Amino acid sequence: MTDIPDQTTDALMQEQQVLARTINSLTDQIGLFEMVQDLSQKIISQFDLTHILDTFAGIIQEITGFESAAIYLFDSHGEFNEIFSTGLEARSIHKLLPENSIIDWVMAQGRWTLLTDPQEADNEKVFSILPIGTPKKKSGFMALVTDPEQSIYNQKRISILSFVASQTAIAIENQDLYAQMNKSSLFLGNIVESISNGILVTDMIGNVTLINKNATALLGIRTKDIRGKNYKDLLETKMADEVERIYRQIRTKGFVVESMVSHVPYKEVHISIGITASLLTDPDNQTIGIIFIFRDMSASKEIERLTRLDAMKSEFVSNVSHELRTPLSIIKSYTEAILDQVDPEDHETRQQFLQVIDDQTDNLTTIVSNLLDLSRIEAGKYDIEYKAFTFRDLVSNVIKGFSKKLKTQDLYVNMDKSLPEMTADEDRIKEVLVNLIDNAIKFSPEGGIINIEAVHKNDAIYCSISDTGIGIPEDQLPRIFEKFYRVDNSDTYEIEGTGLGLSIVRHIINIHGGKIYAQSKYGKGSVFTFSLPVKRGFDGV
Amino acid sequence: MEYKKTILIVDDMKHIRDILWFTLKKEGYKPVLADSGPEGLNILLNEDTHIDLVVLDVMMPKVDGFEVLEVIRSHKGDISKIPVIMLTAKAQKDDVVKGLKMGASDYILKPYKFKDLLSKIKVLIG
Repeated sequence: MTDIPDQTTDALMQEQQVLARTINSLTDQIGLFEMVQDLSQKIISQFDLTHILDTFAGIIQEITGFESAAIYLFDSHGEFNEIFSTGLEARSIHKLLPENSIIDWVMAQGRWTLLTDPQEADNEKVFSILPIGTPKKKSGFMALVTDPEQSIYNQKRISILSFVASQTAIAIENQDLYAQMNKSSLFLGNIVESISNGILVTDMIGNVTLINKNATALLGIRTKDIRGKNYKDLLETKMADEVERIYRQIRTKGFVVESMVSHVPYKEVHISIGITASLLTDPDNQTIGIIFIFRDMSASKEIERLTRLDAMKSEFVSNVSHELRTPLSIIKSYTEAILDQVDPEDHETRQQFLQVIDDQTDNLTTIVSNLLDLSRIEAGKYDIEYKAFTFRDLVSNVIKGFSKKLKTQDLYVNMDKSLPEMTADEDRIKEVLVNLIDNAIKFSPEGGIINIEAVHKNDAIYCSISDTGIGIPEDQLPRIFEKFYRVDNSDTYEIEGTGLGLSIVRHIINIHGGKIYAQSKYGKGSVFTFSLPVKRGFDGV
Repeated sequence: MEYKKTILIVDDMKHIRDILWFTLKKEGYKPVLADSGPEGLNILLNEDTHIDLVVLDVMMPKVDGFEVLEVIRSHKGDISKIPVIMLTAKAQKDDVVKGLKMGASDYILKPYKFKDLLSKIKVLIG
């Protein structure tokens, strides 16, 4: 029985020893793994290749105690290049590299491999290769030169080294992806910068997370280091108020909000800005901010203006066609009647019809000459011939020409006796007067009073022509000098015209250095006032 | 006294009305004048006047020729059958097609030859 306890004790002792050794070894390994994991965590968290390789080399140095080492990475063509080296003999390591087939073989093994047998090395160094890669991807390898005395080569270390190498490979790959991401965010950044609209992104409390140059320009932001600042501190009050309003709206509504604001980003620069705002969400559909797009509406306005001009031109073609055909058909009908039907002895009817033909021919001439004037103006060939004349005489002459046209209207003239002689293109100024007086008569179909006044002031003649006619609706008043534009009153009166007269009048006044403007009350009458410098070359009246 | 066919002329241009009145009268018709669409319709719908044919201008303020034509053609009585010649300065095909589709008997473009108008009138009412 005594044997038995002895044996039992022995066995127990042995088991205890084995257990202690295992525990020790495990503790050892756990400690080592913890260290390795800690270090490899360091590697993984790096996004800079030099740092990764530096940390990696440090760990390997710790484990293998190498004297020199170099790291080679494969490029996209499968060629390897030295990226990193450390140690005294680092520079000559590449001379020790075996032929490619051996490197390929080591890579295929995927584990730390000694290429010099430590037993045969004598005092020579031991050369080894540690592949860097995961089972899926080979990134490169490390070549190590170790003192044979220091060389510790065993299975445990091999697996630890392989683990570290694979972690490094992952880190290298991550860093590569990170670099690519960086590149693509740079790429996106460039796109954002080149968009002609202003783009401003803020988080939910209004701090700027992204802004492009056009936004700073459009919004007139002068502050540097905009990122992270609140929009309220960046925008001028009016714009900030509008953005705040959009903020509240978008947070309650939760979708795209559009708005317009006229805005003065710089002194005397007035622009109207269209704002579109929408919520920005991450891939999990969480709201992470608001994106504002600011558009300079001046450009859209220009397009709108051109489109309108285009529409006016086609309307003009149809107007001109109607305006030309109407007098032509009258001329034709009356001529035919005289030729075929009017009794040759009926002088009165003949006379009457010939008068109609004569008037309509004048009408046609005016239309055609207006068209010609316009095309000359457009081509920049509208020449002015200056000569001296008296404005009073010109007005009197023009009025004489209208005596036949005045049927139900009364015309009064009131001119300064001191009106000086002026230098201008008399024919063109006559055209202006004819046009304005003709309009005054034309647009007073029910009769009324037409007043012509002229005064001399500041080296200029100011002339106004007023009527008590149908007037111009207020909203159309700013457009009456635009070419082709015709006041839309077709529901009340049908008055002939091509929409060219006033645009030509304004052109004539302008090239003489004068100005023209109109005032009107719809249904009450209109006043056209123009100024003309007395002397040639006197600008800015 | 010989019965004269009555032709209603609807045109806002005085010169056109005057010359049509003169020429149609010379050709033995009895012209009646209206200077606007509504006035033309007033004359047409007045039971005292019998109208044999209408010469209708298209481009007129307030109520244009197409609107007048529509009223004529949708009338419940005999008025809807009155021949209508559209007189238009608009050379656009669309207007001609529109007029004919709406039931115009014929059309004539300004400037027109009186003989052409006359022959169209003769075809329609003799």
